[in-house]
Amino acid sequence: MSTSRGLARRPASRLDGFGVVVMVMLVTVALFLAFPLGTAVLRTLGDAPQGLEAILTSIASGALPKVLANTALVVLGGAAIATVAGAVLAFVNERTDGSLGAAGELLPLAPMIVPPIAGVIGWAILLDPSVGLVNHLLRGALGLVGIEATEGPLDIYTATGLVCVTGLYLVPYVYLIVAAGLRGVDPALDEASRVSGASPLRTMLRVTLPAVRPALLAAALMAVIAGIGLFSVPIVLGTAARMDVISVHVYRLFDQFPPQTATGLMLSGAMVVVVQCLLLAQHWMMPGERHSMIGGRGGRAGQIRLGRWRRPAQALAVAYLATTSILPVCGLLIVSFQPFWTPLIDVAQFTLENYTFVLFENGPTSRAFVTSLGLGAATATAAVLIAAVLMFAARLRQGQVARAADVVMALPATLPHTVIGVAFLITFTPAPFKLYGTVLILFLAYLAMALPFAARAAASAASGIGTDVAEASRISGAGPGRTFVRILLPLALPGLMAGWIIVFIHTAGEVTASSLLGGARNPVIGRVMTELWIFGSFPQLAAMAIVVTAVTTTGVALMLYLTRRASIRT
Amino acid sequence: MSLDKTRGLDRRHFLHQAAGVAVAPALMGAFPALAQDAGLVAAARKEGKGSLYAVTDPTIIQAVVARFKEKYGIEIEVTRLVSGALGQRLTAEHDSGAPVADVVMDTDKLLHETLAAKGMFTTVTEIPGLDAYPESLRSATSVIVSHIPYSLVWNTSLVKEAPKSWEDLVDPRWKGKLLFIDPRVGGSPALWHVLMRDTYGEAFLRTLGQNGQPAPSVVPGLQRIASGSKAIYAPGIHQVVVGLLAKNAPIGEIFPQPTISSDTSLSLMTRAPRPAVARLLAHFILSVEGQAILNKNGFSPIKGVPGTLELPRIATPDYRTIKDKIPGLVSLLGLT
Repeated sequence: MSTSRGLARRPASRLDGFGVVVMVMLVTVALFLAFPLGTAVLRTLGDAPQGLEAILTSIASGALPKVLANTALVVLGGAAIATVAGAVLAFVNERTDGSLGAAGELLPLAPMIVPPIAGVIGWAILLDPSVGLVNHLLRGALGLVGIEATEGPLDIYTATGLVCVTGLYLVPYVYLIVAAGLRGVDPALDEASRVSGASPLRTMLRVTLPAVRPALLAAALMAVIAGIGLFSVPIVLGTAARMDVISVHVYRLFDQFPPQTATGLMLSGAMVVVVQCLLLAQHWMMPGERHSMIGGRGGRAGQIRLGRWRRPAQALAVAYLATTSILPVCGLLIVSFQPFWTPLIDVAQFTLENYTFVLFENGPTSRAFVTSLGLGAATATAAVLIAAVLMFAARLRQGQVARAADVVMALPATLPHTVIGVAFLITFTPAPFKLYGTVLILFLAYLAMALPFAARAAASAASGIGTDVAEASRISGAGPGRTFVRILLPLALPGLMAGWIIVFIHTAGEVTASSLLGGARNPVIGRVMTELWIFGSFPQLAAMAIVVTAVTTTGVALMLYLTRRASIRT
Repeated sequence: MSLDKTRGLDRRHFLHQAAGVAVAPALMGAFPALAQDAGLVAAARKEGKGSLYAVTDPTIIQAVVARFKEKYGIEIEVTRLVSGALGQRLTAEHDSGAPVADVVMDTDKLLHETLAAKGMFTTVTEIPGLDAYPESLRSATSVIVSHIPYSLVWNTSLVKEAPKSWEDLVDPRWKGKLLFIDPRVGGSPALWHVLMRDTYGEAFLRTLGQNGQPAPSVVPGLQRIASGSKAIYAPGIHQVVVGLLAKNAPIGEIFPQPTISSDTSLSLMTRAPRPAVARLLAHFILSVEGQAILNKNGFSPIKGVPGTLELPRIATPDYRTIKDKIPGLVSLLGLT
C-alpha cells in the first residue's frame, strides 16, 4: 500500500498513464471539431468580403439587430421560465415526499421526447386562437359565466407564446442537471434546516437550492445555449409571431441556393463568441466550490416532509405534467387519427391510414427508426464517456486542462446544427474520407453536436463529487484510471445518465444536420419528420410523432430504471 | 394520399373556364410515341436500380416510378429534397466523385442554372425523342415536366361566397382571418409577392401584411385553412389542395389570373452512375403515359394529356433578381 508520501511526490500536473489518455483524447476531440470547421472556413474565405458586406447591410437596414433582439428576448425569457420551473420540479421530485416517483422523473422530459416540430405542432393544435382544443374548452368555460368569444383567450402565434413554448422545451435541460445535483447533496443540511423550524419553501430557497448553485448556474447556462440553437420552436411559431430569431435566420442563409455560406459562418462565429463569453462568465462567477459534496457516503438523500404542502405540491407537479406533457400528446393523438386536421372531433371519421402511411407506405420510415435509435444510443454512449473522462480529469487537475476541456467541449453548442452539417458535408465527402451518404458521417456530426450536452452533464456530475473521494482512492494506491472507473464513474452515474438521455433523445430526433447528411440510403427520423412537415400533412406528422414518442419513452424509462437500480446498488 | 376523389375540383375548374377566363395558348402538340429503343432498355436493365432526386409529392412520384418498373422492370429509388439541401448534396456528390443521383426534378430555376454552369448536368438532347419537344419548354440541360400554378385557397365553412380574384385576399372582411406565405422561404413564393406588388401596387402588400399572418411554408398554411384556423390563404399549391380535397377537407381553390407557375424541371446528371436508366426514365416521364400519371389532375406542359387541366394565364417575373427584392417585400409586409 502506498503512503501519503507517495501522493506528495506525485504532482498533479505530471503525466501518468491516465494523463496521457486524457491529453490524447482532448487533442483528438479538438482536432475532430477544428478540422471540419477549419475546412468550412477555408473554403469560404474567398467569399468573406461579400459575407461581411451582407452582414453590414443587414445591420444598417435594422434587420439583423431586430433578429438579435428577438433572439435575446426568446432565449433569456425561455431560459428564465425553464430555470424556475425546472428547479422547483426537481426539488419537489428529488427531495420531498411530494415526489411522484418514477413518473415524476420521466415526465419533465416529455417535451423533449415528443420529436421536435411535431411537439410544437401539438401545441398549435391546442392553443390555436380559433380552433385550438384548449381554447375551445376555455371559451366553453367562459361562456358559462357569460363571457362570449369566438377567438382566444390564448394565442400561441405571439411573442409570448413563442417564449413560453421555448421555456417549456428548455425545462428538461434544467431539470436533469439540477436533479442530478440535488441527488448529490448531503440531506443533513435539509434536515438541519427542518429541525431549526424552517418551512419546506424556506428550506428549498435558503438551503437546498443554494447548495446546488453550481448545478443551477450550469443548468441555466445550458438552457441559454440550447435556446440559442433551438430551431423547431421558432421555425413553426416564429413566422406567425413575426419573431425571426438567429437559428432560423442562419438556417435560411444555408437553406437557399446558392447558400450564403460566408454570411452564415460569420454569424455563427459571432454566436460562438457569445457562448464562450457566457462560459467564461460562469468560470469567473464560480472559481471555487461553494457547495456541498457527496462525501462518498452513498445512499439516497432523505426526504423533506412537506406536511400540509404535500398535496398542493403534488397537485402542482401533476398539473404541470398534465399541461406540458400529456395534453400536447393527446392533441397529436387525436389529430393522428383524423384524415385532415380539424377541431371537429368525429370518432366515426377516425382512420388508421396515417399510421399505415408512416409505418408501411412511406418507404424510409422503418429504416429511419433503426438508424436513428441506433445512432442515438451509440452517440450518447460515446459522447458521455468522452465527456466523463475529460470532465473528471479537468476536475482532478483543475487549471489549464479544465479550461481547455471546457472550451473545446462547449464549442459545438455555439454552432447552429446547419453549420455543423455543412462543415461535415464539405470535409468528409471528398477523398480520402468519402463518407457521404454513410451512417458514419451522421454519427460524427451527431457526436460533435452531443459533446456540449454530455460535457455539461458530466461537469455537473463531477462537481458534485468531492476531490476527497478521489484522494482517498489515490492514497489507497489506486491509479487515476482505476479511480475513474471504480470510484468516480459509479458515483456520477445518475448525473451521467441524465446526459446520456438528453443526448439520446436529441440525436434520435435531430432535424437540421440530418437533412443535409441523411438520405435515401441512411434515412433518419428527424429528416422524415421534416419532410412530412414540408410535404405531408399534420395528421401524418402526428402519427409519426406518436410512434416515435412511444418508442423513445420506452427506451428512456428502461434507462432510468436501470440507472436507479445501479445507483442504489453503489 | 389518393387523387381519385377530385371530381368536385374538375367541376369547379370547368365552371371557371365557362366564366370566360383566358387560358394559356396551346404550347405544343402531343409528344410522339417513340419507337421503343430496345438497345437503351437493355442497357438500362443491365445498370440496375436507378436514383431520382425529386421535389414532387411522394404519392405522385411513386405512382410514376411504379409504372416505370412495371413497364421496364427497373426499380427507381426516390429521394425527396428541397432546393437548398438538394443543391448542396448534388454539389457534394459531384465534387466527391461519389455520385448517387441519376435524374433530378426540381422547381428552382436558379438552382438548375447554377448547377448546369458547373457542368453537373448533361444535355437533355440525350433523351430519346426530345427533338419533338418544343424549345420553349427546354434549355440545353433541363426540360419542364410539370406546371404548378399558384392558387387562392379558402375554407368553405368560413368563406361562403367563393373569391374570384387575388384582390379578395385584402377584403377587410378577412382581416385577422387571412394567411399568406412568408416570402423569405425561397424563390418561387416570393415571385408571387412580386407579381402582386407589380399588379396591384405596394398598398396591396401592406394591407396583406396588416390583415394577415405569415405562414412558414405552404403545407402548414393549407393545414390551417382546412382546420378553420384561418379562412383564406395564398399562394396555394394545387397538388396539396388535391390531397386535402380527397380527404373531404372543407376547402375551395381557384387560379386567379395572372398567376405564377412553379415549373418542375428535369435534368440528367453528367456523372450519373446509371446513364441509360437516367435517359430511359426521363423519356418515360416526358411520354404521354408518364405525363398522365405525373400531372393527373394537374398541369402538363404537353397539350391533350388525359386527366390534366388547362393552364391559367401565367406571368413570369424575373426570377434571377428575386433574392434582391425579398428585403423590400419583407418590409412592405411588415415582417421585421
